[in-house]
Amino acid sequence: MSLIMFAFQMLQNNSRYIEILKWVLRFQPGFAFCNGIVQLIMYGSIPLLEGDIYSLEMVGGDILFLILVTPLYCFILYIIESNKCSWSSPNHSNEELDLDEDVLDEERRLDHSISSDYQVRVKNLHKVYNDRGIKKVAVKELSFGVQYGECFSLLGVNGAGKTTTFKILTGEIAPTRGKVHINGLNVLDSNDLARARKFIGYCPQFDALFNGLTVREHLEFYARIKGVVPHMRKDVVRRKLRQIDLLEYEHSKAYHLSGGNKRKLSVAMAMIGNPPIIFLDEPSTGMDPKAKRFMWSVISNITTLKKKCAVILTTHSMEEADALSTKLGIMVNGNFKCFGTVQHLKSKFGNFYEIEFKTSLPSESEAQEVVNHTNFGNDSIVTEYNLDQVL
Amino acid sequence: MLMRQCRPLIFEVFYPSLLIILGALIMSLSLRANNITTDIKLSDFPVHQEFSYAEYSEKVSTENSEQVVNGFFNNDVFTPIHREFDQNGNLRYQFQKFDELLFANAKVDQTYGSAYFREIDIKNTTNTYDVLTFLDISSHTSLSYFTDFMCNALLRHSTGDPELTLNLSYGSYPRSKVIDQWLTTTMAIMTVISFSLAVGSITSAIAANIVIERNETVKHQQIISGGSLFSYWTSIYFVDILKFILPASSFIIITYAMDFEVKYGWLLLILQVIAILPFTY
Repeated sequence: MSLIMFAFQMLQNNSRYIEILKWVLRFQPGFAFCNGIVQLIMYGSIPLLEGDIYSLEMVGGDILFLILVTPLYCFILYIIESNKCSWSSPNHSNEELDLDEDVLDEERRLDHSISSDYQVRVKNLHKVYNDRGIKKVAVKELSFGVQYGECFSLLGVNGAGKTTTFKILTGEIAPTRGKVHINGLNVLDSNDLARARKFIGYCPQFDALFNGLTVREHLEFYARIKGVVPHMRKDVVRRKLRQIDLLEYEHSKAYHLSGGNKRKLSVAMAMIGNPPIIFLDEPSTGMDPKAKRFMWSVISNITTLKKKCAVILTTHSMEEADALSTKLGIMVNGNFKCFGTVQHLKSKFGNFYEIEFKTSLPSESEAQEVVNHTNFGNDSIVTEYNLDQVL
Repeated sequence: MLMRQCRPLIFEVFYPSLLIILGALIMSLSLRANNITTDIKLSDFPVHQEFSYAEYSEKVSTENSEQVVNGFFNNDVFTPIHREFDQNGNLRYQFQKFDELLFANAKVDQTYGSAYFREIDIKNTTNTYDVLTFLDISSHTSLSYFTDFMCNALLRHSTGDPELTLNLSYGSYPRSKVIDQWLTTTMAIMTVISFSLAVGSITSAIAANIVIERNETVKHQQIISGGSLFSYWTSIYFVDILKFILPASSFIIITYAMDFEVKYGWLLLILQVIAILPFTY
């Protein structure tokens, strides 16, 4: 830009418009710097050049702007970063939703509660994305509450609204309307949000790791962020490494970890410092069955044993939700299609039994005999074609 | 934080440093080249000149070149040296030898004269002097000295008066302001392109890092985990300033080593580093 301006200046010397434009462009530090260098070279090379080199019309103007724009851009950065989560609309929806009775019960429970009754309280959360004039409702009037000792799963297919709900809960995006309270703090208020985040451990959907840091360094870094006191930090990190079975990789750089171990590290980072509220976005993605079950046992332990932690997780897997959740909500098109404890949902909607057993490889007739003796009905016929499925 | 991405350091530190050094060198060239002033007073010129002459002449009728140069050189200023590069008159060979002689002597003494009188033929019948001389036009004094010498030599020879002197003063015309400005502009543009590429390389690498951290939710995870935005941006700011240390110090060292007339370019660079980072963020 400075070169273009310079060329213009050479072609049309002393043009008033070019001078004005130069003053405007000096708000861009790169331009001010290059313009200053040009002036210095011109002044140093041509002794006959008139005027003081450090006057405002020459390098002085560039220096002045470079000094002035620094706090200006810092301030703009501060405004952008601090205000982006503070907007919410008080409008209410007129849309009638066909909701399940359990979902309505949860809404009613929340209506009769106060924000501090739940560790995570979400009320009438609504999010509309505006994509070049086309409005897409991602989350519709979602309401739920999670208390200590509970593990709440958001289950649903891609595009159901799970990740959007998570992003709102963590303050990454602002809802169109609705209320979200974490430990009684309103996350839509920027001051409360900063305080609420002190209670949160977060495992994102994609591993947010520093490739150059080791496993231990990651945990130490997050232990510092969580405010673990220095003399306890080493011990806390070591215990977490042991808990999540990453002790043998503690000095490995994140870049060299397998997908499953990266996931473990992400979960460990979310759990370090024992935060009372943990958000896990598809925590077992990319893990082998053994590691997955190990991870489930870790999550289950921190939720149920100490009863001092509320976990919210998203998953595609019914098996994972079944293994971990004390209650779950199945999301379809931005709202809960059904809501409740795992057992309640099984009782209400379950028409089938699923049996899983392990055995040494039987013959076709032996497998049929096992199925016949289960007394779950005679619909299951074992043939050579479905033997693998039965097994 | 410095360890978060190591590979981009090539584009954040080393490559920009090289560009900054290149820019500073171009800047120094532009300032130095234009600091050479050409004074048109002959008294300020280096006075001692060695002129070479050859004895050989195919067309000598009455006197040869040696008689001319020996008779009319002012030996305080000009030293005639007899050199015969080629007795067979191979012109190409003589060019080569003269050229080698010039550059060999110029290394020792930059005032070395640069005229080779290959042939001076005086035709009394027609009252003409035919002079064939090689001139080194890369020497900015040779042309004026040669003309001065030839005028005086021929004047004395033709009049027969060895005391007769024609005082002539020559000098190169100083470059005009417009020409100077265009030359300086070219150098300034090259310098600025170099600096812009350097700074652009650093800032784009920094911006890329920030975008990557945002896309991979690294920043988001830190903030959600309780890290403050102030700490995040401050740490990044100071780490990014560290990345400018090598390029900036290269620039400062070169400006001082080259002894620029205007030394406060470093002030602009430092202020620019401080200002461009929040702008990039």
